[in-house]
Amino acid sequence: MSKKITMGRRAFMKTSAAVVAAPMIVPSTVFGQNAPSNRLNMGAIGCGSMGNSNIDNFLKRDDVQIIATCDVDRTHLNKTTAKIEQAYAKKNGMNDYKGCKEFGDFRDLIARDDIDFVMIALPDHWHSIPAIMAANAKKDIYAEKPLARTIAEGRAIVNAVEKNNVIWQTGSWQRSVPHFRQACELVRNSKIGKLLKVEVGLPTGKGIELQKEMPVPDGFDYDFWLGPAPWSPYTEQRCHWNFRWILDYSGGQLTDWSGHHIDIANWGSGKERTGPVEVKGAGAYPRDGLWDAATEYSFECTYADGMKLTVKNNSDTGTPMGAKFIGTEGWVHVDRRGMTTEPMGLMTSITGPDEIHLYKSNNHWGNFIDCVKSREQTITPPEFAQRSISVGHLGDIAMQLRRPLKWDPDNEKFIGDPEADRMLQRSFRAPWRLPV
Amino acid sequence: MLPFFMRIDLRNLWLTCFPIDFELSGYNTIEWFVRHCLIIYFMIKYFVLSLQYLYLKGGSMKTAHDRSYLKWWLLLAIAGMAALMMVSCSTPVEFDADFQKLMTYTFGDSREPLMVIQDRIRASYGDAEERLNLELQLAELLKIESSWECKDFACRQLMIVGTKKSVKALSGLFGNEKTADMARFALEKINDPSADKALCDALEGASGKTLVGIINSLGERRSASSVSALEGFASNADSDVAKAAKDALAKIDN
Repeated sequence: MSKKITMGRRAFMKTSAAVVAAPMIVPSTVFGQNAPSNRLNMGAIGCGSMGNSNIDNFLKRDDVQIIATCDVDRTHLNKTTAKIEQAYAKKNGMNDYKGCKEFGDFRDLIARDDIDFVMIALPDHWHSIPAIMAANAKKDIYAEKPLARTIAEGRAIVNAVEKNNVIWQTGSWQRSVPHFRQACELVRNSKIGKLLKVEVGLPTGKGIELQKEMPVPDGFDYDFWLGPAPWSPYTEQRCHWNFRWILDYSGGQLTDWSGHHIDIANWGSGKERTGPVEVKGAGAYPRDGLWDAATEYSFECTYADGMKLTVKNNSDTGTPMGAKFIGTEGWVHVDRRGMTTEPMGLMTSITGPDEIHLYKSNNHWGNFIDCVKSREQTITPPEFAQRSISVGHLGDIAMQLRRPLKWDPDNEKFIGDPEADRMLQRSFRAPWRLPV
Repeated sequence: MLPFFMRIDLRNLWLTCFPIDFELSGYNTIEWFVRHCLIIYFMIKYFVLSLQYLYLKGGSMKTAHDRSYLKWWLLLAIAGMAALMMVSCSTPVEFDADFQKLMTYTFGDSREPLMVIQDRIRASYGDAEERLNLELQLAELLKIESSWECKDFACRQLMIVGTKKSVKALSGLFGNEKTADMARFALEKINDPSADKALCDALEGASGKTLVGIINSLGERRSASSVSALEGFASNADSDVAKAAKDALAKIDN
């Protein structure tokens, strides 16, 4: 299942340099495999909550050195950099360590030649531009889900990653949790018979009251934070974690969680490289207040083979969080707490040697690093991320337009609905544009 | 409410009375013919009479009186067309009650007036007459003294439902950086050469981020007709402008 990534220019240069230099320097085995020269240098773009969560995971690794951080909020930036430097000081038994350079502009960080990979954890409206620039600069990329704010931006990321042969891991970490893999293997191996339907339950959203314009806090580059999104007055509840609830930047709980449970639905049903052909549903969007993303949602996707995928917010709909695969001979439900099945015996079923074994990863960040070294494909390449978030975006578009839509998953266009096609891509505020 | 074929839309009288462009008229073909069956009847009648007069040595127009009669009717028809055009062009768009509540909207106010208009737009899918009515009012919001947030809302709606009828109003927003972005968001989506022309025309006189944004939009539209204009900017002294032009040309080339 895995795909070898052909060696890029930077990887080739590194390998070539190592071959030439090897006889002239002390072999790395003298220092061990995690000698400084063997470490991968990381640049962290985005020092908010998810950025810090990823940084914590990379800090645990001896084969990664975080040498640069970037954020438009200087408070976040300073705090995260201090955390990184303290961690390295402690790890090396030093009183003080200074080796992590701060940036306010991700373009300056990407331009550094000594960075091997970047971690991108930004608001969704900022996913595509840095990702494409990093790929064009031949940096490997660990990036947060969802892949992008729009389907067109997601496709542009996939194209850039594939064109540049860089390694990509999406932060859909549930794939690296064993019981999710076990559930998907049960479905793939037809242990519940023919798969008829997948029911996905995601969190319910919420609104907030009207907000007044506020002065931009010192040290926060608000214009840069808005970036390609339409200009709007600053107010505290717009930014940082709360970007998720505003349609200019994200799609609410629906798109935030598409990269988790819809991703698992795609994994189990084998729909990781395609999408539905029809989508219909209804959602509730706050009519007032600052946050405007869907708080309640219920839509149904139909695939070319007849399989149905329903996506609902989990309160009042009877749909539990997670993904429930329903087949002709039973069902499997999986969420973060574990797996339940019907018949119950499936819980202890072991995938046989001649059956389908899905990609195995027990550490999402470790899988990425392993793949950076081996140039193999990660467990969540960008195409898979594009297909999971596409379902969320399609549902959101159908709910916003309030009509059923027909979708061509190969060409990623709506069929006979140019108005809906207009919602596949957003225009960028100047001077930003999708990089070539 | 009167049935649709009895309602008079002064603003669109010209567009709807003559078969120059069904799409522009905002009506589907059947609706247009029902509305205008009498006009069509007289147009065909006098067209046939004219042909008879010109090519069939008079045809049924046997006497000088008949020919004079035809001449006066043709003159009357021409005068009628001119009057229709004048009425159509001079009749301002009148905002309905929902739009009037929108004009003073600013950030921090209740969004309900916006939601009402958005509901109407979403509900009008497939209703060409209502779409035309809504689009003309949205475009008019861009021309009048209204809040910045009101114009922003209008542009966001025109991103989805804007047609060539909105291009002129959108073109009027290139005066400053903030409204220029809003105009581009809508113009980028309008699938008509008039949008390319509007963007190309706006290149002249634009500078800084506004100029970069317009170039970006032409690139996103894969606007082949703007290649020669963009080539001129590829060697611009402003490196941001030059890079934007090169990227736009690369997108068009792909």
